[in-house]
Amino acid sequence: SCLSCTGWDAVEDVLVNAARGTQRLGHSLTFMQKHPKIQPQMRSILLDWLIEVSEAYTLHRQTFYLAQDYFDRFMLTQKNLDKSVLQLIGVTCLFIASKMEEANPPKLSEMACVTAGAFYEDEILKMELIILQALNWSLRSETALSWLRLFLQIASMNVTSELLESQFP
Amino acid sequence: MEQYSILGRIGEGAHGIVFKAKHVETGETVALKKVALRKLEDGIPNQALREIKALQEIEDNQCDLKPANLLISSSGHLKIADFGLARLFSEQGERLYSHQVATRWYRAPELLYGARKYDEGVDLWAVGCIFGELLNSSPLFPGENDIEQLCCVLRVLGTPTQDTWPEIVELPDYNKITFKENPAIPLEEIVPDTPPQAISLLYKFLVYSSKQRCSARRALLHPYFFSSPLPAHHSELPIPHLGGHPPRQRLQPPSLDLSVDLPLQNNVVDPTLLQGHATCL
Repeated sequence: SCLSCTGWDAVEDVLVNAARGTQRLGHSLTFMQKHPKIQPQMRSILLDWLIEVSEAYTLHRQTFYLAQDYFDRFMLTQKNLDKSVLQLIGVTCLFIASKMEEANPPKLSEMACVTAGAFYEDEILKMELIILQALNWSLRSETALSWLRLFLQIASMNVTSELLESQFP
Repeated sequence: MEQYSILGRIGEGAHGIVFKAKHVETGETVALKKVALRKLEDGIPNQALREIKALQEIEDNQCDLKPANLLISSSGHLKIADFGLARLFSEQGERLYSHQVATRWYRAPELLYGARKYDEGVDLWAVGCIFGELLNSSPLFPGENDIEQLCCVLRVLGTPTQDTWPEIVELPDYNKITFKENPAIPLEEIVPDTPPQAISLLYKFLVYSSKQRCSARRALLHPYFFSSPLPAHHSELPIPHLGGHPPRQRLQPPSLDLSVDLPLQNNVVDPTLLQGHATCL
């Protein structure tokens, strides 16, 4: 979310919309409980690796954060996954996020390449469909970065002069 | 796909075919876009993913109707775009002030009174403003700020009363500001030299009460669209030329005034003529 794309919205509305959007996507901290075979550190390692891949392909920061969001939400839809598929899920989330955010997203072959032979291209394609369906094709997530952008925008603008209330208290 | 039954073909674009279909379970009429996946080497195309995102945004009422967001393609098709690409612009530093101002002119009065909940009525108000602007070649309500914006609207539509706008009492900024009472000015004076049918249609959109604004579906049945000049076929539309050639003059429309009592089919362009053109119906 951002202010100027809803030009006539009050700051409050934009914030509420952004929060509501986030809520609708149903995040939850409980996903680790659904996957007893996965330890929290494994998620950290995976995300670190995704940052490295993002740097290697000079992706936007927002792309990485989107991928992280897709990953977290996807894990909530699954049960008892094995750590062996984590990297596949992670790289596929980054693949999808690149398509949403990048002007020149990396090719499928490049995505397969960074897994150093662990996964083939057709596995990423299959996983792409599984993830998209599990996420119900909802790919517009608020990320840490989009929240930050919104807060900075609000902080830098002088709204009080434009509102009815302040002129007619 | 089993959830839908195809009713017909609406059009074909560069990226796929659009079908009219019915959702079997709910009976709802929908448009289905079949994307040609010619080369799937990179999975689901980004185009498709971004279109789905755009549709979800439209569903969430995030589009912003104003002339600056309306595009006419070289083939005469009208497209609604959203240039609220705040990311691109804000990264350059300054906010585009003119962009903000232009949006205000099409803002529905309930929003000016601080409405928190609103519906498609805000778009219908914007449609009225745009329609009036097309007729007049200048914006109807060019307010310099939010207060003046309200003044502009009130000057033309008259000071709202509980009769003309029952919902006004529930709006947050009602009572925060009072304006000198003035009667409405007939739209004929605001938009002079305009056919009465156009004025009549304009009146249907520029209504204080959001619920009473004419829906898009109903508006299409208004006599305005069945009186001269009739809606033009895409191929007849004057298109600005890049090379400095004067635009092709539109053929003088035949002076027809078709009756609205006739079935709609009698009045519309033969669908076969539209094939390959009607991508955005």
